Amino acid sequence: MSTPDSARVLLSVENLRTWFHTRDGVARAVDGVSFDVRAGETLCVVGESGSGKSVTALSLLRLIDPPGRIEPGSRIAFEGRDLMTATEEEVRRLRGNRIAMVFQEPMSALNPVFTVGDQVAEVARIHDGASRRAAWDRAVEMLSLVGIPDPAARARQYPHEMSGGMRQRVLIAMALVMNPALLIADEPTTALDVTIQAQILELLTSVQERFGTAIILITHDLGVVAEAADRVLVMYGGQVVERAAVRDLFASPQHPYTQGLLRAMPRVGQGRDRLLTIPGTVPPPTAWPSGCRFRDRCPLAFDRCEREAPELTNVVASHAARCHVAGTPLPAAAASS
Amino acid sequence: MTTPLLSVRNLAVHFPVRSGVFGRMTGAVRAVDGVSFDIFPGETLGIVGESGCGKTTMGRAILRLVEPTAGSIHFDGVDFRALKGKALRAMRRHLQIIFQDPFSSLNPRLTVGTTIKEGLLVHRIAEGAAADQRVAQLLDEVGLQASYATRYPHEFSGGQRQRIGIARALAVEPKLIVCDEPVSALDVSVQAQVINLLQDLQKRRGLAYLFIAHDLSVVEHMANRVGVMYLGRFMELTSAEALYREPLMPYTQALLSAIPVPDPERKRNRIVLAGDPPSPAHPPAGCVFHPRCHHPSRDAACAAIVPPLEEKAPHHWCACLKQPPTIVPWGEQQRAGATHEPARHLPSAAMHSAGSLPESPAR
Amino acid sequence: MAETPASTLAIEPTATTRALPARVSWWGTLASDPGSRVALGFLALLGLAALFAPWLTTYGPAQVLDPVGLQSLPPSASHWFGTDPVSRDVFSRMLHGARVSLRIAVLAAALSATVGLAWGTIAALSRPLIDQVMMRTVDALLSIPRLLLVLTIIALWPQVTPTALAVVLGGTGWFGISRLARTEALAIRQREFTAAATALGVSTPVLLLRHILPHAVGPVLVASTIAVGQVVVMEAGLYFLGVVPDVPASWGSIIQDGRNAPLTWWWLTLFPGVFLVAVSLSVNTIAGRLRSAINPRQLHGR
Ligand SMILES: Nc1ncnc2c1ncn2[C@@H]1O[C@H](COP(=O)(O)OP(=O)(O)OP(=O)(O)O)[C@@H](O)[C@H]1O
Ligand SMILES: Nc1ncnc2c1ncn2[C@@H]1O[C@H](COP(=O)(O)OP(=O)(O)O)[C@@H](O)[C@H]1O
Ligand code: SF4
Ligand code: SF4
Ligand SMILES: [Mg+2]
Ligand SMILES: [Mg+2]
Repeated sequence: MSTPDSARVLLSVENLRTWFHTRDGVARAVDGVSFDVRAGETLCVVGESGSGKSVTALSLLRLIDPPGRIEPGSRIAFEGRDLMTATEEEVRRLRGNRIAMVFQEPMSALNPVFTVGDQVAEVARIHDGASRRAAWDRAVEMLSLVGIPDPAARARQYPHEMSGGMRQRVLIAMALVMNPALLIADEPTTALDVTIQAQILELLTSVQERFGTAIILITHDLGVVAEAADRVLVMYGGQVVERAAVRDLFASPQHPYTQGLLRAMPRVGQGRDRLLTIPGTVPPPTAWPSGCRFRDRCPLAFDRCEREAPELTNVVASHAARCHVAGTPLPAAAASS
Repeated sequence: MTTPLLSVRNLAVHFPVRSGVFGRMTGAVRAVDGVSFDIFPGETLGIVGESGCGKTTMGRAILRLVEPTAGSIHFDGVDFRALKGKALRAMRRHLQIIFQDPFSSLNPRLTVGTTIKEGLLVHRIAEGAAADQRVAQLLDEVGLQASYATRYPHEFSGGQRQRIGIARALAVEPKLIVCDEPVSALDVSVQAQVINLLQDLQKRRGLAYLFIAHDLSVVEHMANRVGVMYLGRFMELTSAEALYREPLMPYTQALLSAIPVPDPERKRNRIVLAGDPPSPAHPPAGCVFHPRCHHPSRDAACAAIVPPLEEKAPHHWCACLKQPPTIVPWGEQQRAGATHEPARHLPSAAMHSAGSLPESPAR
Repeated sequence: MAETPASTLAIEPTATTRALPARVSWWGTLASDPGSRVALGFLALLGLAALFAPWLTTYGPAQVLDPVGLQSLPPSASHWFGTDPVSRDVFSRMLHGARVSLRIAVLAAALSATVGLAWGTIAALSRPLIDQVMMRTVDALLSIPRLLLVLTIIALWPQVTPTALAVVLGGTGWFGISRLARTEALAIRQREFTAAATALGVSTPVLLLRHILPHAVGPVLVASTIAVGQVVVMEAGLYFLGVVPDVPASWGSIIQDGRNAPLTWWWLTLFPGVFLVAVSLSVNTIAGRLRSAINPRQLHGR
């Protein structure tokens, strides 16, 4: 990847393709995704549901079950190690250790029959071989680190005794036990209210400042992206359609899909004018349109878009878009407002 | 002033908490705890608040889908709570509802046409071929093909299902529609489509909406007036414009400041509230917001006196002891342990959280 | 772009907001499973054999052939399942017995399903007090062992014909089903389309028939399928015990006929026994398959 930044590349993904071979056909959920994550940065992955964000995240940890498969030719390198050729055991040792993950639904990610303290301690015991006592102390320390008041007492509670925000903090605590180099957070605030979302985003930022953890933050909320990201991947149809530094993305979105998303959001102060919309819906992953996958919803589509699939190309340095017309001056009507 | 279409006074819904072998009532969840408001014909009243604050319960209580514990509901001058049986069912056609979850709001075993037709048949609005024709018109009105009438809900996307739900509500020609988070489950691009549809229908049919959402920007976009709910009560009620320009209630300020703004250039100072909203089974005494409040004048009086929802500026109601003016005398506050006199607090972080309005001249 | 405070908290549908399946294809579900195919085939064959028993058998179910020469013979080419101590042909008795068994079982299960479905869904839609009373009644009835209940009723019943027995077994088999139906109905009541129907002015009986019953039928059907197997065994037991007056032939009474020397007269125990187990197994296989098709859900017996 052409990055002027010399920061250390932690994770490098090239041509990742994860397909689900279902009865209804091959669902090409992730289809040729490439990106880098640098140490200590926050990379946001944004897109509507069905665009392949979660499957990308799960693929990074090789957590894809049949009928899903990471297709041959995909390359995932973490800290210089090739994860595609690594043994299952090697990948297992990375999970929860060097790479940790936080999910959207905090309740289903926690085991209801163990106390949260036990579950956090468990991670230390697995990866560190810590003694029961030491692991428990570490759990309490982690719970306090993620801002759970009275952590010693809270550690003895069960997941159902906690609110959604608290549970998400517990999951973050579990993810941080081993001080991972990379934290993957899949919609960690989607199930939460705005005020709790603000708490969790604040927590992630402070964790990053303190430990230098790199974060892949998956979201569908461009507001969250603007608040949290250093760099952004916009996904559509199992592909990256735009990749840019956060400022560049919002200052001059290049892909018609990104522009559409920004226009479709209601804004305070805009009054009650009609919103601009993207017509139609995301097609199913078994039937992406030929050529450009966005073409049946794109206001700028022309004949070439049907014939030829656009490549992800740099419009300006380190700002790439997958569109035949990106970089050329746009008609006024389509320009971002 | 015109007469209100819907007039709600001191509405309360308490769910009994039962325990023990005999299921004795040992407490109550105060899901809605005394709300009052009016909705005028053709108007949209927005309701915002965090999950569990009672928005859905309030919306359903107004339609008597859950029975209110107390309070009055007058619709078009009729005492809606006094109606029973046939009269109640007949009245129902004027108040309809659209739901949040596009996957549970349609009966999966009935075709789209049958679902939309149900109301037509119940109220004898159209029958036979006329009903089918009406269904086709309604589908067209919500932007779907008439041929969809013979299909089943599972064949449709979330956004399309919401349109079907809207057509079902429109079929009986209601005057008021309760929209319970109709776009919360939808993707941004589809959300915009449905919001536009709802606005077009309102213009065309002169509908009134009670529009519930937890997304403040969606509510601001839809509503003329907005009510902010917390723990079953209204904390603030005013025009959408005034609410976003000058939120008086500390809770509203925090809520507004928490909205993530899609502008990376703008790093704001947020008011990050500590902790979670308390349980409506054990609401705090006094001002229900006091355990999380950041108002500099917050003091012991807040934990003792329930602040009344009072008009702090013309048409701007707010429930806070410390935002002047207040009808709770200072002497009474002092007797409750007050140490700080009311003083206006308008943290800039909360103010028009994205600065979308001109750097407004202070009032 | 400088002035855009907006956020979107669209929530993706989660598992809890999944759609109910539009319609389960019962037939397709069973046909695609080898075990169910075998079970279905066996039951169909048995059903046909029972239906056409008079034409498929050479002897009547109670026909005494030769009390001296043909007494207690093991299976042979002329008497496939042997003969019993009074020289009746066991094969003929088995097929005629199947007529009785299956009729009672199907009748009883249908009765349980209907009563259970009605009781449970009505309770679910009634006012809390009525609901409580109805369900407490079911709890009380469930706490009495079913056999005790059946024996008591039979003792008081003047003339226990097979149909009467079906009524007794059906009438004591719906308690668990009503609980299940109530749970289902309550779950469907949570679905917002029922609230939408109420808001449209739909009356309670229509709500029940159109919007709730069709969804509760599936699980109830599965539960009553299991009940068929239980009833067959129970009814054989009652005939075996002789607590109900004998009919020309029943599986229970065939076993009873051989009880004096079950090892010597093994065919009198083996054939009815194998058929009982096979019917139970088939029915449970089918029920299990159907259950996994509608929803992995806990069903309790009775
Ligand atoms: N049937 C019920 N029995 C007991 N408590 C209930 C019942 N229905 C709702 N509640 C409680 O009442 C409160 C308000 O619920 P409601 O569903 O109205 O919240 P809401 O604002 O719509 O939240 P959300 O955004 O999560 O939908 C909650 O604390 C809820 O747990
Ligand atoms: N187990 C699976 N089998 C078949 N298709 C799947 C599976 N998991 C995900 N998909 C499909 O892959 C696409 C991308 O899914 P996902 O990554 O979860 O989207 P999102 O961007 O919302 O996180 C979706 O269309 C989804 O239907
Ligand atoms: S390639 Fe064509 S269809 Fe695709 S986004 Fe660009 S203009 Fe639109
Ligand atoms: S009454 Fe007191 S606690 Fe409540 S909002 Fe006002 S200042 Fe805060
Ligand atoms: Mg996802
Ligand atoms: Mg709700």
